[in-house]
Amino acid sequence: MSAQGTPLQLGLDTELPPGLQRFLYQLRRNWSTMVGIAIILFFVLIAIFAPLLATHDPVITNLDEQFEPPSARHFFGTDEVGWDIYSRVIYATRVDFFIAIASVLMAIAIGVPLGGLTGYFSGRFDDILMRILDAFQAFPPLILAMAVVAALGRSIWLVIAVIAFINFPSYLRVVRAEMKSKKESFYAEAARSVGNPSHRLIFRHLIPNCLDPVLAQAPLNAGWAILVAASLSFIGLGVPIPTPEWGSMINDGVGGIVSGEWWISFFPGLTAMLAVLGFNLLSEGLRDIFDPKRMEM
Amino acid sequence: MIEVRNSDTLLEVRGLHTYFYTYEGVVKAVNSVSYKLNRGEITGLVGESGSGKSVTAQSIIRLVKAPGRIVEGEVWLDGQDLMSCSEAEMQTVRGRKISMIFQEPRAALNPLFTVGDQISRVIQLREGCSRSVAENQAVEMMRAVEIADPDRRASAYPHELSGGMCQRVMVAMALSANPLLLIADEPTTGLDVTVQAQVLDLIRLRVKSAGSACLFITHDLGVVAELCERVIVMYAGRVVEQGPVAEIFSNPRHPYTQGLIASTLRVDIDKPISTIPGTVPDAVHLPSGCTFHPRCPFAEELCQQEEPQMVEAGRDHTTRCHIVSGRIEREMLEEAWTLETA
Amino acid sequence: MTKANGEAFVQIRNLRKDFPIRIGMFSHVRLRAVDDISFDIPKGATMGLVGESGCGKTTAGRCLLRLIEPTSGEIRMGEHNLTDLKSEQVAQMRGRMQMVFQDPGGSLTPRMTIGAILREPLDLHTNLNAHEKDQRVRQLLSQVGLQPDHLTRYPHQFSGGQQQRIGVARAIATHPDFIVLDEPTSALDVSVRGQILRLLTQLQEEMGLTYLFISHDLSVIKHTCNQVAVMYLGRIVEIGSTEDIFGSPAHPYTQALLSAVPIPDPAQRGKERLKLPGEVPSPIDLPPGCRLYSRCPYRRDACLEPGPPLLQVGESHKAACILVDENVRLGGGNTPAALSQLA
Repeated sequence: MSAQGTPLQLGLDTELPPGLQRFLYQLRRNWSTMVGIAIILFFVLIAIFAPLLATHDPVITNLDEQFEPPSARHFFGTDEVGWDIYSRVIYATRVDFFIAIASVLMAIAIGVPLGGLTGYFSGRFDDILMRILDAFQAFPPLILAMAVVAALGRSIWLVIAVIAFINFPSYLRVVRAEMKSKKESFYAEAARSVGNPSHRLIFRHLIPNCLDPVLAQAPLNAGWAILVAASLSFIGLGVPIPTPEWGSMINDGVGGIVSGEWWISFFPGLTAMLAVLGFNLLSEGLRDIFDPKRMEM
Repeated sequence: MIEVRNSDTLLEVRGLHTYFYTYEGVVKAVNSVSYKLNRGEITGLVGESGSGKSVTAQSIIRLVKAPGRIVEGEVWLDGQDLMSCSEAEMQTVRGRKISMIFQEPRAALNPLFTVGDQISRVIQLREGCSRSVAENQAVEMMRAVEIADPDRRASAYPHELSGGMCQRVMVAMALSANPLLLIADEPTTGLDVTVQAQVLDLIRLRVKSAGSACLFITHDLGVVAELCERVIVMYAGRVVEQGPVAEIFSNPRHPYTQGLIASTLRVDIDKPISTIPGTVPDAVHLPSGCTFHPRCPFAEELCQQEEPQMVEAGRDHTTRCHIVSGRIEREMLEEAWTLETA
Repeated sequence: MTKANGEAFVQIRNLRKDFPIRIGMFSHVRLRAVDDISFDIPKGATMGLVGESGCGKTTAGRCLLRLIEPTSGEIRMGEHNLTDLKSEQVAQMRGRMQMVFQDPGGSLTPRMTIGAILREPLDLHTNLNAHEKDQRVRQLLSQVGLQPDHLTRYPHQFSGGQQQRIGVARAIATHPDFIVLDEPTSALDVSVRGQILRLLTQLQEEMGLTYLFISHDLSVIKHTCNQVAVMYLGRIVEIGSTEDIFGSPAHPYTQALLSAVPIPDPAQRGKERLKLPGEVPSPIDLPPGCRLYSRCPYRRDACLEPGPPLLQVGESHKAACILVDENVRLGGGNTPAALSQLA
């Protein structure tokens, strides 16, 4: 039985990919993951239906309604130029989620193949690359991001690229570590004995089997990307105004916190926190699910 | 706790059910299993993967891993009901009355302590003696299991010893507790045949001289024939046949036992390759009636509908088959196993 | 068991494989995993390579297919000298020489469907179009006794026996000439083992395959091979026809190995055994003499001299033991008792 290490024979009639059924089952039993997914889904829906949900145009200023506290007309109040905070928080979801997801995908696109290659070939190339990464990662990431954006100018694409660049080494490392064990597996040898050239072996047989930890890490990095984007905006180096973005909105309201207009920073801050929490819960759950020690459950 | 029992019986398992609650469904790993082990005897528990033989052993010492659970059944060891023991009492039972040897000796030994240390700890626990006395006894124990140069080897760490040597250490450790019952779960499966022969000799010698009982779990009928006095054959969580070893091998009554013996290849005689058709059934969706019927060349309609009961098949020999019980009149021909089924 | 038709198809000459073992930051020692082995396999025959763990049989099998590079020696398959080929040329040859692995589940890529796994060798080695490949894959499935609807499933959805059938189907996909079977049944249940052995024999007859059958299980070797080579610590200690090896084993190691195999018949319990005391010594820095010296009950000083070479015992039966020579001259049998008289 499972205690002996022999896999249970499953009576599966459906043709779902390996582990998907099991995955869904474990998802159901893990409440924190469910909450995480619910939060992320909630934000995705907000981003999609932003025009329907928003009560005001997010970028048109209205100097007649400055510093309005939260009310039935302005749910989250307004700021110094009369922007409706609620509508801007809604629209900012689009920007921040785009930054989070795009930067993670870009980091994966760089980190996974590079990690696969360096893990497979090892040797001198691997040694040199890893030492470069060590040096690179020894540098405080936020300062690096600030330096790059300050030098090259503010744009949303640059923010995405910088975050991806900061994140890709972590993907590279996990894939490299997986690859080092998977390349010694029987199926790698079997694939070689069939006559697969190295590139086919790496990209068809090995990398798809190295992705579990990548999937567990991606949401964590997405949450982290939102924080970095917000931090950059907060110090005035992120997404340029007037594009609504949580970090720059918090920045706008900093002065208001002491003078009593707390809502200007509070609502975007709360929203950003909720989004990051959602990603972290999801990542935690995925890590549990992909943990090999729990596979027999 | 008054138990009327045969004085030779050391362990009695009655109606044991251990189920695993997996998301595919309930796996009845051990399904209504009953047997007795006698003092001074080695009993072979034979079955293929998924037959429930290891779970049976884990159930006896109440160490079934989640999501498994002992649902029902009694286990009596020397007059003590193990199922109603507290966890603290169970720990004493595991340490002093029952010892286990596993398939992976290296995994069962602690890599941070020398093998001498690990054996002497067991002795200290049992005797309550001083450390140095226990250490001396540990060396003696290692000499008893034929480890060459035991004084030097006692200070070796598990990774410094070969698999065969580690298994000897496990045997020494298991036996230095002077257990009433030794459970050996495929102890020679990863070992080479020449080393296997040495370990089997050792187990036989030690069990006989200590007068304890041994439950020897294996998939290898050759090992059973060489070592055991009695055999229990399990298939898909059920005991399908049990009896004295000579009887089971010369006159197997259950078709599964017959097929198993027929498909065991031998180095001493030439015979065509036999095989049991089909595969071991899905653990969650067991076949109706007799669980062996889809693979049985003699199966008839009744076998699909009704599960056979355990019946007498000879002296001290029981089996679970409608043909043996006489509910179906049919001859079981040996040729059935050599038919082309590939 | 197909009868061999004479001519050697696979020829191994003086194959040697050393592994460097790191013992410090800068120093290495040499582990000679395969030491100067030579044998021939006739077309359509099965050669058994038997021995205990660490004897080098698996390394030898991988060297034969150049899955690992031999240190020296020559491997010929048909008209090709495999040792001369560059690695790209070897990759092209892979369609003609294949391997079936010990761990049936572990040798199938987990995230590929059975269809994709079986199509792969066709993609790599044939010019068939998509439709023809599809047909060939279906034909392969039925050849190994699986259903067409299994194509879209993943390896973990099959039992061990079915997984090994898939492994066999992959190996025969490109109509190879030669297959190395590395313990193909040792991970399988007894009742399923026979099914796979039969399948292998049947395919050998249909396709004229030549097999190298690597196993530690003497009973499986006996029932599948025409010829057997017994290895101990990297060397072949005895080689001959299956009847020779099992009927009249000449080398003390072969005798010990055979007598250690448990017989599934309680009536034969307590038969006399040739026991080898101790354990297989470390394969690093072995002395030049007979490898069995430290454990052999018949050893003598002459055994410490370099060698011994494989000595002729019968027509095609050779053993690397100096006692064989004496024994043959004395005209005695090769039983343990006869040998122990010499000792």
